[in-house]
Amino acid sequence: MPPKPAVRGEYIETETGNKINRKASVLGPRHIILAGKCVIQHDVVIRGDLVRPSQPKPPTQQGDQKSASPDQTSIHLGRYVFISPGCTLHPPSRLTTVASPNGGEPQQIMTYFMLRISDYVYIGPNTHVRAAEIKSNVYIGANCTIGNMVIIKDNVKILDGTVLPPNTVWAGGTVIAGRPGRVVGEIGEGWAASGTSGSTVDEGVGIRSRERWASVGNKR
Amino acid sequence: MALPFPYIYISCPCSDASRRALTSKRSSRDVDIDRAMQDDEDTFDPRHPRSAFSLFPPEHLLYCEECHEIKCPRCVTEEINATYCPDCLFESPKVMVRGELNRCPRNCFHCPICTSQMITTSIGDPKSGPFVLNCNYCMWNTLDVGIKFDKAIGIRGQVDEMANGGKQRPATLKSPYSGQAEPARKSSLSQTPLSPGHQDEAPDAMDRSVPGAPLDATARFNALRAFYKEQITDSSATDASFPTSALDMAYSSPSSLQRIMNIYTNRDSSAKRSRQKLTIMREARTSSEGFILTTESTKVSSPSIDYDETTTASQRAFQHPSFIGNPDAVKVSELRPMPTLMRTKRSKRCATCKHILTRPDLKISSARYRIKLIALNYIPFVTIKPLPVPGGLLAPVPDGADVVLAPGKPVQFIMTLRNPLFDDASVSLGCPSVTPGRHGHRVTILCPQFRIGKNSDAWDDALNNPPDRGTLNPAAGGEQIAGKLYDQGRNWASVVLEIVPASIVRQQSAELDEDEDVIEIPIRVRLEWTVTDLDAGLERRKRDKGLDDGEDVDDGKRELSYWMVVGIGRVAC
Ligand SMILES: [Zn+2]
Ligand SMILES: [Zn+2]
Ligand SMILES: [Zn+2]
Ligand SMILES: [Zn+2]
Repeated sequence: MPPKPAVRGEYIETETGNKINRKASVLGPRHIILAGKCVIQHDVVIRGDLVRPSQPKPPTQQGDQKSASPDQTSIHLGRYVFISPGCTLHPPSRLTTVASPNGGEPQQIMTYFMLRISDYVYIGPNTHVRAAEIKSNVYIGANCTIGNMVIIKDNVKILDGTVLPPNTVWAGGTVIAGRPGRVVGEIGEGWAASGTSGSTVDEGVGIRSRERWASVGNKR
Repeated sequence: MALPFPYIYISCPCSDASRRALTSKRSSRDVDIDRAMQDDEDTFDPRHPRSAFSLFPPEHLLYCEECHEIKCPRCVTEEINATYCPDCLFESPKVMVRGELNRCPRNCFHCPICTSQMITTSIGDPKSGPFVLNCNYCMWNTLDVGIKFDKAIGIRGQVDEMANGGKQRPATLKSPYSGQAEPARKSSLSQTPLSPGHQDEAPDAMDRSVPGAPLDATARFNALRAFYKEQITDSSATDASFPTSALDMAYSSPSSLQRIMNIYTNRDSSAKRSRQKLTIMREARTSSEGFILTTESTKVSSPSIDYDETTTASQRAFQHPSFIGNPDAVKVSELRPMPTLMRTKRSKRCATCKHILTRPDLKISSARYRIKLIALNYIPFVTIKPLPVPGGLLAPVPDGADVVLAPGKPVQFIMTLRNPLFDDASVSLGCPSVTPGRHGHRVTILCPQFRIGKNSDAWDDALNNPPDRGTLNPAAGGEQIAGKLYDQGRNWASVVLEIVPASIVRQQSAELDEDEDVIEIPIRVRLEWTVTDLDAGLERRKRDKGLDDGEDVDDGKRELSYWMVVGIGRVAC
């Protein structure tokens, strides 16, 4: 479907080039970081409000929470991340054991972690994302389900309708399809960065990130 | 084709018949054929059954700086640099991989029901277990087949023990390159039939299996493998041309292939030899050698099973007998989880000149390449969009859409070529006026010859003003003059492509072939450029090859031509 002609002011455009549709519901915006040139289209739901509460005692086995304020960010999007209409970005969660404050038995509580998406990532329409990490140059098709705590490495293409079950890890350089997702092919070497600086065929060529970013926005 | 429009494919020149004739040895008759071919250079027909084998998306193509040619997956050779598990991303050293049967030696397993990755979960205390493998997709877990683990780590080792009848997997298996590994195995299952250890260890194997089926599938596989390996070793001792360990042969290695080819080329002598060999080699005939009577195995399976309980063909194929897997499983309850198959990082070489084209970073976590000569760094990057005219086709979204064109009505498209080279390039585009195939669509490129400027470091202006945004003077918009570019920028140029789709008449009875209504346009792209920054490259090449100045005089002139296929849309019918 071609995009509807944009009405004036349909997007909020930030100084760093982010374009956020006014019809997207972005919850807990202060817990969300957009690195720049991100596009968030209409009917997208971003659950930035599901953030891990500040804890006096840091959990023991979380090596991936190294950012300066781990308790404050729930969703991090890199540069040129494109979120298509109808998507949901939901931080991943896990049951963690914490000592009861009043000295009783340890309790298991649901804890949210950060959803971290790197650069040049495209997420197709009506896809639900609850991953822990999505690296760079990743294309996710329409109507996919990316389960809780999933990790997707660099240079991956996920075809429409794929389901990645919770807690699965997906190595880079592959094409993934099916329910449940399976590796069905390899992507070409030309998919991602070219290595030569200054080339027009820069990172994001497989995703066509720059083209996508340029194709939306307010009418000038 | 299921791809959204517009799409671009590039045909690798290696499939070009005329080129092949030029490089092979020629008789004078062949030269005549060459000339005839060059006279009317055949138009590439995207619908020809052979075309599908030479067309590649541009990002799959490489470029060899030595041969000055595009290289497709068919004209490169691959070498394995590293082997790793795609689930836990741990590397396995080369010498270990074979002993681990090419599967993850740690904790990674896949579900036998749905093939999804399995997750280790505790069914008791979160820390001390016991643990099971759980499929998060279909919710199958190993408890369904009565498998529990004491520890959360080293699951593969624990499963190996179960498969091996409670014993640890023999360590000798881990040294795949020693020819003695197999006979030295401790397991009774892989002992040679008449070895001294056979008698006292055989009952052990019987104990753990159902009476009537002396060995389970894994044990039988190992026994058969050991038996035939032995047979081959024995028989090949008398035959010099036959590889000593045919079972261990790496079929990808050139020397092994050479040996295989020798078998075929010296057919006369090897036919004699193979007749000899037949008398030496025998088939397995005792159950300890892995032999089983089929009537026996069918007797074991119960005659009436609930249909839902039976396995599918793909589930059985997923079960590999070298391990705990059971490829004869009739019931779902006989299926076992399989350890994850390893994946590889590979570098690619030009098959002609052996120069390295891509070499990945050896670190498993890294997605970078140390060397990467991709074609998109040499050939123009092509984008196509409809000419913005009132009432015309809508501008495509980046993923394209189903474009439907009215028959008989001319439609214009803008084709933009962006030059990735650091030198100016002259481009000439040739295309048949009528597309080949049953439905001849008429095609015109209004400006088939032009130059595109070099790509410089200041690419930001192109990005901030992408051609899509239109640096175009509105007065010139929509105006197409033959021989003139539609638009032009620092390192890109746009030409107008006009198409008059032919109408497809469909009889009521006749069904259209699949995608018969798709318009695919073959375009011959010819590029010429002169490498100005040649010195560095030339010096390096001289050093590499140790050439005199006289031998390899490189004037820096480059030429490249290839067929590009543009899928533009469908004809309404
Ligand atoms: Zn080729
Ligand atoms: Zn693994
Ligand atoms: Zn499953
Ligand atoms: Zn070469």
